[in-house]
Amino acid sequence: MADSDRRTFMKQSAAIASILSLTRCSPSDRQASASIDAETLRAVGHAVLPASDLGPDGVDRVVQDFLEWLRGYEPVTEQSHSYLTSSEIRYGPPHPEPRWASQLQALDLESERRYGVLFRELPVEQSRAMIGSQIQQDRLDRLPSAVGARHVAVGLLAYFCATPEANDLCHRAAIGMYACRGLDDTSKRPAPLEGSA
Amino acid sequence: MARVIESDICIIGGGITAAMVAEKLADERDARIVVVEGGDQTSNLEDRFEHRRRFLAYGDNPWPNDHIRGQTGHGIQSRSMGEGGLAMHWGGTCPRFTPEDMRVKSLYGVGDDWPVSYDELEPHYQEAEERMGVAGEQGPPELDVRSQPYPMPPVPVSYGQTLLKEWGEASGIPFWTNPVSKNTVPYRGRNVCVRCDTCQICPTGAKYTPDFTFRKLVSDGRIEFHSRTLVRRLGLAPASSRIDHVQAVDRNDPDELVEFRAATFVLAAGYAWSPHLLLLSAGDQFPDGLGNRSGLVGKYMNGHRPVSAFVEVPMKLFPGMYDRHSLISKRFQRPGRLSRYVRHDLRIWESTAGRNPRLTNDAGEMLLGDAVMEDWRRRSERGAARLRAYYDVLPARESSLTLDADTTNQWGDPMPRIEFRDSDESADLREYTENRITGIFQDVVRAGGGKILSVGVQEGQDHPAGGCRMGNDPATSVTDSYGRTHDHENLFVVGAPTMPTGGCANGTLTFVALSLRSATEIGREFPDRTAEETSDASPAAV
Repeated sequence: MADSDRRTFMKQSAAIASILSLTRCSPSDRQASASIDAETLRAVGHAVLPASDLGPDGVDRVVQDFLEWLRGYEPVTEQSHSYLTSSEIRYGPPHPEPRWASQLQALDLESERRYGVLFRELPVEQSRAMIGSQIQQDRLDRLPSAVGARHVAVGLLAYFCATPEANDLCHRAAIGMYACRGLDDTSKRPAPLEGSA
Repeated sequence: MARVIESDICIIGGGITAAMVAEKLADERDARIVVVEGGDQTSNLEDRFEHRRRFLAYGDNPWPNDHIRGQTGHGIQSRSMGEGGLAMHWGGTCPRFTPEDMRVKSLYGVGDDWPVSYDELEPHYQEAEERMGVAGEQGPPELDVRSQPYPMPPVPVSYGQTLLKEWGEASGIPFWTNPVSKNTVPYRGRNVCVRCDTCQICPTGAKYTPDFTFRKLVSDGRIEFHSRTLVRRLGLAPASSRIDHVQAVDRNDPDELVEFRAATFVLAAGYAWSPHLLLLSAGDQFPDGLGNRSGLVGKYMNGHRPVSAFVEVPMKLFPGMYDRHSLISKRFQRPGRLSRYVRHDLRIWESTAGRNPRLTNDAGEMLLGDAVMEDWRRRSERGAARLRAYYDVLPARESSLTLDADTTNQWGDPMPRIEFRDSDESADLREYTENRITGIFQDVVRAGGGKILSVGVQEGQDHPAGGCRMGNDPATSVTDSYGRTHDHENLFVVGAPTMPTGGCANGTLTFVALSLRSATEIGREFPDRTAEETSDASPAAV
């Protein structure tokens, strides 16, 4: 296994182990924890991600990728500065995990109080409506950057929509945005995605 | 006591013009060359994939620590200060100016002519393209004036660009691919472009950045490169107008002064820090700053103003396929006779304007789940393009860089304040110019189909230059056409600061061509080494 592959494998293993450990928490642990509840996040994923394109396994995979992305986030890093027009150095926001974790807890609490079941046990339409009512107040039109999202559901959706996979699905073509792939075939129309018209 | 470092040629600044001057002088002359850069060394090539990954994932600065805290002023100014300078971030866009840019007074009766013609600059354009490695497509010869082929074949036209070229040319305006300093074949030990589409950080080294030049020169023992060493003053020899030293602070050891002594000094610090340093070096003999008997140091700051339109085009495009590259036309840079002066370039890019995923549709309904993708897909059935023109803005004398006593860096030095101002003639032409350009956008869309979504004018100016304008008359310029200051025979200013006007295309290649012309003149005072050896480091030896 190449070093880079090994590093990726180790990171993914660590991420999965962490997710598994999170899912073993009891409800009371979850309420006290500032960590993301992976099962509730998974339910959020099924509510906000395009399941018809991704399929159930695809939604779960995107949620796991999002958790790994979140794990790699470093708060208040120096951000890319504009080429010429700004003299201010911007720094990224604080770590979103505590806020997002508490929002997931709140979804569970509200679901239990409103419907008597955990959020993950709600039908998708009902969970989507609950999320919708929570993010409505943000009056968002455009998706923010994932890390700039106030609500975890918006963060997850924004994370996905910025991926090459989402771009491919939108255009139903194997575009492979940001893939370093040589100059051959530059001028060719990208091949249609398997199964798309 | 200051630590003294002696050389024959001391180059101040570590950006692209410094790299090119250092390389040319090292190739051609027997001279000890020292480069002094205030910022840090940049990251190593092997770290750039990881920097790119974090840039894409989190928006992190792909060039960490590329600036000095507190070393910034007001106005249009980059924060980049480090090995490679702003050319670490650049997109590698390398169009030449056209002959008209150097003769606007003679041809159109506006602004000022340059003291150097396109024909005089042409071999240096070619040399710049060869040293940096430019891939380009020859445009129509009457519009795209050059005497030799590009060093490398052009970057391939993407699928989307192929469609957009046909769309744009329906108007009768010819378009071709914009030249870029990116390798399409292995070149000077650097890789071929592999279309990562993150040109602001090229992880493979296919895009030219000055660090490659500096590191090769240092590893070959042909220059010394002093990073984290901020020059604060230029100093005169006793009872003379010659410069004999510069004072600097070693940021690793701020209590120790460093003094660089040399026979020739080359100020290669860009449009902001070059005039800034001359003004900062005022003393008894030159109370208004060095090189400033004309009073023009920090004056005639110039550039070009962009007008952009986002357009819906009648075709399906696939964003994310090499879409950082553009098409260019020089039709309006070479307009022939004009009743009123308007000159500009014209570029076309693919765009995702109005086609990004969103949370709320036009009816104000929230979109979640499949509805997000359905909305995004529906709005992407027709593609989008961006049209952009840089138009020539002639600077007022009062378009200026001054020292701002209210803003100082950590060593107490006043920082620059840059305030661009159009000349009266440009101000009078502004509305007419922007209407003309908008009319051309409309012509393109009318011929090719689609609709204009928005038109915008950026108030600021791109590719800033000026502040040490060149000219033949010491009363109306700071340097001669080679960048030699009229007031100090051994002090040269190279590149962007010397430009009297900013043209109407990206400026970097022209900054470099002017700098290489300056290097030819600077080198005359030192022994020729090319006569005694075959230079295997010459740009032709790839």
